[in-house]
Amino acid sequence: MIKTFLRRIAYAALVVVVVLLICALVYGLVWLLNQLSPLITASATIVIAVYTWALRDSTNLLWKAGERHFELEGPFLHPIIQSHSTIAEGLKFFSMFNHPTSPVTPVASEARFTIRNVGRSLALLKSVAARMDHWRSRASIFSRDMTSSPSSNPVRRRNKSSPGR
Amino acid sequence: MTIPIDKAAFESLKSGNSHLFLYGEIAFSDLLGEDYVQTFCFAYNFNVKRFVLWAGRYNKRGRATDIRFKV
Repeated sequence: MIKTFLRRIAYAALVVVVVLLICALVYGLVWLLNQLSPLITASATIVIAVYTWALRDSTNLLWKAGERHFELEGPFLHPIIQSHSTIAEGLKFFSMFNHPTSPVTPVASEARFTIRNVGRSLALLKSVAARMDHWRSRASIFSRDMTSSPSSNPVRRRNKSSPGR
Repeated sequence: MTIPIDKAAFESLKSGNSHLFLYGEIAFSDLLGEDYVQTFCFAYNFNVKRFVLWAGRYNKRGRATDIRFKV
């Protein structure tokens, strides 16, 4: 009877000691972490910075992928030359009368084109401006804004948008 | 598009000293309302007797807000 009582007391004391040891261990760990908090904060900041940089790179790659997707899937209007036979005929005319004394007059050269949507999605055509010129150098053509230049020759200009295909 | 070509221009075209250019801009928008500009430039090739695409930098598509081609 007494032995059983003493054994239970011993178990209880052992449990109390173990609990106190665990509490001390937790307290020590918290104290240690508290002492190292500046270092932990600095380390966490560095990790977050690296992660943010990696996230920035991923966002840039995603943006480029979107741009690439637009290139492949977006609308793409481009002129298709329909006829330019007059040019060849005019040049042929000069070839026939190629003698220096031949009385030749300027020949009107003409080219026709249509606008075709070669993209994969619908486009709404707004305006077309085009010119045909005889140039020695191509350098100065796009130095001016054709859409605002009074010398540009608008072929077709609509107030309302219309399907391009 | 029509332009007159005289004998001097013909000789220049024939010798390759100059070219006949057909160029311009197409403004369009997609279904989301984003505006785009496509520039194009063809040059008449005297040898093959037809228009061919000129330099790639003159045949570009871009958003209307940021496309300004520099030569």
